[in-house]
Amino acid sequence: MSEPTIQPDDPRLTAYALGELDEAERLEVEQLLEHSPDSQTEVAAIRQTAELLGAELAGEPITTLTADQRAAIEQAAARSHQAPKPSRRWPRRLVIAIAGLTTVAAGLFALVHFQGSASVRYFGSSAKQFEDPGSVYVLRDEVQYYDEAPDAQSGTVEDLERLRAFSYVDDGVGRTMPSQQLAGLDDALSVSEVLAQEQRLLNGRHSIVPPAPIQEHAPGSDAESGESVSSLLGSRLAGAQVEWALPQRRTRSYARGSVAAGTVVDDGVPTMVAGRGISTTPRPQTTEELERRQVTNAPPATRAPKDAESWQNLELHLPNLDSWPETTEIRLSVSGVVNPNLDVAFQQGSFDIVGTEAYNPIVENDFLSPQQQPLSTFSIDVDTGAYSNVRRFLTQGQMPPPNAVRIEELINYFGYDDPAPDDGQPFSVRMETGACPWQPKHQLLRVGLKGKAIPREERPPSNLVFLLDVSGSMRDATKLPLVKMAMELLVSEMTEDDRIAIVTYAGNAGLALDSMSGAHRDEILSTIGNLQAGGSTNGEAGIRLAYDKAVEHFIEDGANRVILCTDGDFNVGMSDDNALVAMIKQKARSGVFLSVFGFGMGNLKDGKLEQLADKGNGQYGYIDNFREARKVFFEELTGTLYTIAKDVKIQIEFNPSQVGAYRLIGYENRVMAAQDFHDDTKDAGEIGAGHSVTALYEIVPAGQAASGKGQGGLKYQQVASPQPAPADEAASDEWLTLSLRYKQPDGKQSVLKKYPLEPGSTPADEASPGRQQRSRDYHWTAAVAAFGMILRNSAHRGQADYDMVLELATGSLGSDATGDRQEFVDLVRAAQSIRP
Amino acid sequence: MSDNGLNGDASWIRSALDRHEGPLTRYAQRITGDSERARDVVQETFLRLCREERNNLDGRVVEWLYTVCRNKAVDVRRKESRMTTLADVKLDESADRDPPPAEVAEERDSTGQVLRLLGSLPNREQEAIRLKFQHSLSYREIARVMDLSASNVGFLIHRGLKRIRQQIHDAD
Repeated sequence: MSEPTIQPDDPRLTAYALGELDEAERLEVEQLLEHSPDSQTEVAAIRQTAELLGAELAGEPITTLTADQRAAIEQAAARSHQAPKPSRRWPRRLVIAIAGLTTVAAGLFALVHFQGSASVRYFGSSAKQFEDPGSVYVLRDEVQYYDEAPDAQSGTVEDLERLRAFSYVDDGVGRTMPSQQLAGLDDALSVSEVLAQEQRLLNGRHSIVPPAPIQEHAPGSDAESGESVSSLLGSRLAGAQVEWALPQRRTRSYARGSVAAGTVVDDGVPTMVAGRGISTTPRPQTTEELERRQVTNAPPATRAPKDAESWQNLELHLPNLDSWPETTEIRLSVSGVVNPNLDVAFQQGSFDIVGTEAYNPIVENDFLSPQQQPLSTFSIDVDTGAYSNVRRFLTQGQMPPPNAVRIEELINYFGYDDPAPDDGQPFSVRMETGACPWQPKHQLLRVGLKGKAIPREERPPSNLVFLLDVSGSMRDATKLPLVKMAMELLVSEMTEDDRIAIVTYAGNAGLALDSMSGAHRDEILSTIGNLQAGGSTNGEAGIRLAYDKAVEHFIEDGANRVILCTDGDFNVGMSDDNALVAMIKQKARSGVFLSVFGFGMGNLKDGKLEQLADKGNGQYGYIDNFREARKVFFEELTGTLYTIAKDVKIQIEFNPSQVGAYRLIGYENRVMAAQDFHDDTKDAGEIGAGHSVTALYEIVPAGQAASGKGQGGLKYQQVASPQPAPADEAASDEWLTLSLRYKQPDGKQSVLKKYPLEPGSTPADEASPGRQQRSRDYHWTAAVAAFGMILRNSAHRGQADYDMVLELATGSLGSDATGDRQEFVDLVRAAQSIRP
Repeated sequence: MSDNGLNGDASWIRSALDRHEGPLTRYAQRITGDSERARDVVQETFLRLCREERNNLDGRVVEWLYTVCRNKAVDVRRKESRMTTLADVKLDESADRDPPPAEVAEERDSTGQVLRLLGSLPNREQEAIRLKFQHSLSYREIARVMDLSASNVGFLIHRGLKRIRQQIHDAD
């Protein structure tokens, strides 16, 4: 009998070495250590490193505050224990700031209640420019602190504005919201200064903290600890308010979340009344009008929900926004007014503004029986957009919409150690089988394709045309500025044999840069630097011009590509999408491919962008941050630019005597009819230089009933008839034969290759080094697939849970030179903490 | 400063200032990248402390200080990066990436080697390690300051230390 041990790479060892384990864990680890000599050495090494670190860190120089700063603090300290109660006077700078607020058209205020503090605090709230008609955001900010309460007895609308400016949004340590995306304001800045500086909108969550029991206050009295702001302010007309901007020209958008009871004060734009409906009313000119509206719109007490849960899944549906004039600034506000008859003013909750991102629905592949459907056919896909998109949601503390989770794109985001192809071959094929972690009775089949890498020095010349969306919505820091960075990265790699042109589409579509040799780096970079967002979208002129330029400077045997960068829809202005698609396809046939990159959030037409890239023989990626931009436009540039095989299709014939059922994981929108495999006119995906592509099947060995759903169970017969008789080959031990078709990048005819598979063997080189590494890819793929299925609430997830994913993933990190795999592990943990 | 008899109450702030002013400024500087801003952040943190009721802090003054300081510093950095030119933003962002191994391997000299290796780690690992070894916060405190779970923190520190050890080992 062997004693339980602890492995040297177990994180508990570090915690143990540093004395961070609690008593029970410490004892447990010590017991395990007794039988784990390697780990004991490890512990000693950890302690040594820790000491070394501590010593060197202690030696780092320290800066201190200036004498003035220290003096200011000491004065504040002394004052804080002298002052009796906050005075009623407004600080001067607040008055200045407020004047700015009423004149600026945009404003956002969050009015919430601070729980548990010993003193009432008031904040001026920052306002954000709603310059961005293309996006939906909820803004909530950390705000300035003031110790004085506003006095709102004068009753003008301006005073109401001032009142609305006060709120508290504080959990006691300066962190106002659960999510990480805090805009944050420097306390020393006035609101108008912030307005001048802040051009950026952040997506995120807004929380309204529940109040302590409300007590009525006579106007003019001070709030005391634990009291609700609402009760204090309620007697003065204002209420909780959450505003956010909506995109124009959208047919559907909704916000879901909790909302405070009450009425809404609006600005002549559609507003919501306590979650019950929408009304458009002109801005109140006098307080009287305001009051009147409030009274008429306020829901009666009986309709107010009694608990937070009733407000949880409130959906606000807005009328067709397309008909609104484009220049309208649209704001949706929800505010709560404390009606003395209501005994609850605010509810806890959060808003998820799903906005108008659009994802095509995914219908998962079911288990199929080889006896009825022996052929599984699909087009390969190297898109990675879904992974960055999922990453974007999770890093913001939100679960991604299930339809955004295309599992094959998650898996294909990562590099794998599949062997490089033999000389002359565009890619290599490797297959592996093994146990299925989430269904112990099932097996998994991993098919890995690896594209030939083109060393940077040998890459063919490229003729690139950037087609950039420079509409107003691109102004956000995660959009055009990031596009510019991405372009600069790419330009830094261009030589005199390459050509670059830049076409913009927005307002005046135009040729920002005529096709120019990559040698003129300065001019190109300076053009990029001068790009500005503004105007509205008109894509048709732009895309035609882009393709024209690409064709004009076509390079034989080079990479000719239009690279579309946009934050959302590609609104072409063509009469319908079919015309657009037809044009893209035709151009692709002529050798000019289209790659599409989505940037930013809130407007992403993920489904549409992916389809455009698909038809254009290019890939679709989503660039959520600089690191991703660097990956796509710099580190993996050859993969992005150079296609080494196109129209790559896979068809697997399963042997019914070995395989009881199979299920293709992912690739739902790539599945093809069996006969299309041999049809060279049918489009399929492209592989770029150095790209890895993985496909994963869950397999039920013959003789077992599939544990999953969807056997297509028939009622009157065991199997559908007629069925083809098994051929002699079925008697073999082969599980399947994989057929592959691909074309050379400029080819018209496809090449066919076949690879049979027997379990326990792989058709590729047995002698390949690092057998250990092969199963690492296998486990990694399984981990990512399991995670994808969890995110999609897949019916086929079996026993998959976050812990399983983490175990598989941390065990197969490998060298992870890019840090991508570690990032995945972090994302899994993030998901786990958002929705366990 | 005049003694008005209430100094007894204010002294806890002063002693916090004495003890933590330096380390906090250093911590803030790593996040903001600028000692001017770092000082501002720390000053505001202490000004904020003056407004807190001591009882509320429940003995967790250190954790409070680091959390507030961190939040302010992160906000400053975020705002600053938006206001700077494109080139600067790129630099700021690329600080999140590991430098290419060549840069790290250049200096074989052992003095400050560990610190250099530390500097090559991803930002979060660096921060967690510094909070642990330079600022002596516990895993739980670090978790609250960085808004992570304690096991996340444990993992970050574990990985970071491991990487440093491996690189020292490789360099020998």
